[in-house]
Amino acid sequence: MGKHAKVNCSNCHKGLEKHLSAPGPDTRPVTDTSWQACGQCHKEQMESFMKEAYHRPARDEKSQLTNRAPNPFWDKLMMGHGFTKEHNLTRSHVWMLVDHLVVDRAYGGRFQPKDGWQYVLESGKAWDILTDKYPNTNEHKPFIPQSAAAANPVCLQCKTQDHILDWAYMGDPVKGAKWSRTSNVVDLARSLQHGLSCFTCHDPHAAKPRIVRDGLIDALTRPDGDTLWHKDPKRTGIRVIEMGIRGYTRKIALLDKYDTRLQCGQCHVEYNCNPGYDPKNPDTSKYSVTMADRRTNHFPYKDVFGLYDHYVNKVGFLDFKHTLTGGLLWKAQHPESETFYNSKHARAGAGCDSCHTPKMKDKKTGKVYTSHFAVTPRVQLKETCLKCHPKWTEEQARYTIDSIKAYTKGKMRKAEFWLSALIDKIVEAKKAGVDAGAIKKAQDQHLRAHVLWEYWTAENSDGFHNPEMARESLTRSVDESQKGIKILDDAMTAKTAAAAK
Amino acid sequence: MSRKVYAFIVAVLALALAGGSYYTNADARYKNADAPKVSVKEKAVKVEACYGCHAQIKELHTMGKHAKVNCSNCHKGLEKHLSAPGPDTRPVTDTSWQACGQCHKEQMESFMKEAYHRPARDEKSQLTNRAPNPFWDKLMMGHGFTKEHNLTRSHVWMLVDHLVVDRAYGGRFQPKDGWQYVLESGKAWDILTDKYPNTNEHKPFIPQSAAAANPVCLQCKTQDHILDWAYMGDPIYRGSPRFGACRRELLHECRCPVQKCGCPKSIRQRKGCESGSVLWMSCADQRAAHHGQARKGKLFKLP
Ligand code: HEC
Ligand code: HEC
Ligand code: HEC
Repeated sequence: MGKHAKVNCSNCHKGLEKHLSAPGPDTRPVTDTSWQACGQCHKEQMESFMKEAYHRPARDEKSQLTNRAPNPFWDKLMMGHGFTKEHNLTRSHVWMLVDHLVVDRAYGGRFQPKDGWQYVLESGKAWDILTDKYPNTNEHKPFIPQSAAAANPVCLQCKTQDHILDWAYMGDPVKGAKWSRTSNVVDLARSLQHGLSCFTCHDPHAAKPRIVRDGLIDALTRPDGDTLWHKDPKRTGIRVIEMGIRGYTRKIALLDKYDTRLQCGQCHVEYNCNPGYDPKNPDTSKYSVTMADRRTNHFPYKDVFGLYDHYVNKVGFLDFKHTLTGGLLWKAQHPESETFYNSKHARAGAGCDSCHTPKMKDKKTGKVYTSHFAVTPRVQLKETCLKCHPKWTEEQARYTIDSIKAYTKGKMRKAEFWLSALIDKIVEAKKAGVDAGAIKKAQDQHLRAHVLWEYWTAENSDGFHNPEMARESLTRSVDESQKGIKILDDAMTAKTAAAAK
Repeated sequence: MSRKVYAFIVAVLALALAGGSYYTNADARYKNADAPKVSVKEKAVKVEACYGCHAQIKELHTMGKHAKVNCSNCHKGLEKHLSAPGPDTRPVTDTSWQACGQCHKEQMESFMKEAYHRPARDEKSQLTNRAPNPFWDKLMMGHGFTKEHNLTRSHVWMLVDHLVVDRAYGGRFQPKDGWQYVLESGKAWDILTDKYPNTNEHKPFIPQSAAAANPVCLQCKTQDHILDWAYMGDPIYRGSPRFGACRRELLHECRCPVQKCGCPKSIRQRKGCESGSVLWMSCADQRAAHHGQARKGKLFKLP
């Protein structure tokens, strides 16, 4: 059906002669999942994909005072969560698997660069760059101080699709599938090489836009149709196709047209990928939702305002227990797609690609191609912002971006201030012996305020993708925190008054 | 003037104020100023004709480098004013930058320049900024500046920046074009819009905003209203005591048709003059008051 009709199978599959001689599981042809598999014919695309952005450093810790989720707030507001171990700004796609493997919170520090810090410049296959310091054990635990072993097989769904044929739909642990949600994640990680596979967004056979991330396909096919995409009257049509020659179902979905809100939305979304707690279960001494549960591979695909209800009332999932308050809280992943979905830019017809992977002209050949170097528009303003805002200078475009960010960051700092005050208040009220009902109500306020704030520390634009939503969300977070504080102030005043009688 | 008439006019005045007629008139003034520029240039006037009644202006105008700059460069509607000088024929005073810029090009153009070395709405309570959190919101808890507090921008943007800031008008004033406004400069209401045009209630409309602006704040944002604002902003309605003293002689200039019907001197030479306050009325108002009709009076308190 597509433009690959004349591209021979042998370009992407090897060992075909053996396979033809005795087709079956033992002679499965090898599928080339490398970038070069596509790059042999799509040179500009691959070369641009392999480019690296140096406009900010590697491991740019978000809790630095100059960064997106600064301390002292971050470590206090997220106390008890793995992201307090290390939480960085993004780097270029070509580095994404490596960055996931080395980050202190993921594998307890077992995976380290072979060449020390020089690795920040190296790109290529993950295991050419990294080494496993504990090759004799696959025990998933912290090895170095202040690290965490928080990675799960589901996290890896957004880092690579090297294992696409070995993973059944939703990562269910089904017969024949080598990997699943419940696999040992160290073993799975050791088997992977390429960050962001080309075929995550492009169907290799049809050469058409597609999505493969099961959590997203699952969300888009939820019977009650509650996602942003369902509610969009102009949504891009999808065709879900069930694959699975190996005997278990895999799903892919072809898109009627390129739609970056879905393609990038396979990973640049809020999703759950870890075990946690069912808020209806009063026993929070251990996880009540384990990796065996499909809730650990879940996409809401809703914007920030729908998330409290979605997780608390609909799905029944919360990520972690806050160390200081004992209340259950949520951790966002990078919800760029949902933030952008109904933004002013999206309504004007822009997609993620308009600003991050624009059309470029090859300097030598003059050929126009889509840059696959996903990077901030700040380094390519002429090809992005100025295309639609031709009267602006580059300086003005940058100024506009920075203005939105400065404003939104201010709101984030205020939301954090009040969350911090609420946490202190809960601790104080607990000490004062305020009744459990009031504490519970305040913890619920905490969760509401927390969702409306934390979304924006995970979202990677400081509000630029949707400034109005950011403002609304962050200021409402302050309102919710203040309500929580009031509940406890009132309860404590009543208690003191009763004691005085 | 009889006590009865005086009391009546004061009551009417109070009503008119409650009804916001002060603002209505202020609006009308700006609408005038905003009217599409008539291509015909205001004709130059003989300054001597003006000096006769405007002695103070004479002193100022003749002392400096503007001595030869005609009134008509900055004041419009002079012909009408001269034909019947008085509050109803007040010349329009051009308070725009262009009023001066037409002759002082470099000065105006440099004034209109915008600095991009740091962003708009650069919130001071960011951790990298002048009054970082967590301190700011704790130390200032309860104050409107905790809602939004930004580093300065260029002068040309200052009125707009005051109008949109979250702490000032509760979020009612918003840019027409969304965030692109940070690059727009010019008249405030070409850039901004009022989201609640049907009410002038001064309150927070959006979450975590404040309605902390006051008329005095605006004294440092613009002087568009210079003629409408009395010294120290004292609530002396209908303008400022521009004529400083009781100006009986001006009243004689009124070619009030009522005079022909025997409009009594008592109205023009009011007792108020001697007691240090005077009710200043247009000819039409005098006539109306004389005939016992409701009219807006203009009360000037004299120092
Ligand atoms: C016969 C006296 C008279 C003459 C001549 C006269 N004016 Fe006036 N002018 C007045 C009076 C009276 C007022 C005040 C009206 C009021 O109460 O607001 C006034 C007010 C003004 C104002 C203030 C407008 C405002 O918004 O408050 C300006 C400007 C002005 N005159 C300019 C001129 C100019 C220019 C000329 C010469 C072309 C001139 N006038 C000639 C009597 C005069
Ligand atoms: C360069 C511009 C400019 C010129 C020229 C100019 N004016 Fe004005 N005039 C203003 C401005 C601006 C105001 C507002 C009040 C102020 O600035 O003090 C004003 C105010 C006035 C007032 C009100 C004063 C008061 O007591 O409130 C009068 C009367 C007046 N002008 C008369 C004149 C006359 C008469 C001339 C010519 C001889 C003249 N102006 C020339 C700009 C000008
Ligand atoms: C019609 C032309 C014209 C307009 C309109 C005009 N000016 Fe002037 N201005 C002059 C001239 C001519 C001079 C004298 C220049 C010189 O001597 O170098 C002058 C001089 C000045 C000076 C003195 C400069 C010095 O070096 O001492 C100032 C201040 C000034 N103008 C301010 C203003 C302001 C403020 C406005 C608007 C309210 C204004 N001007 C409107 C023509 C104008």
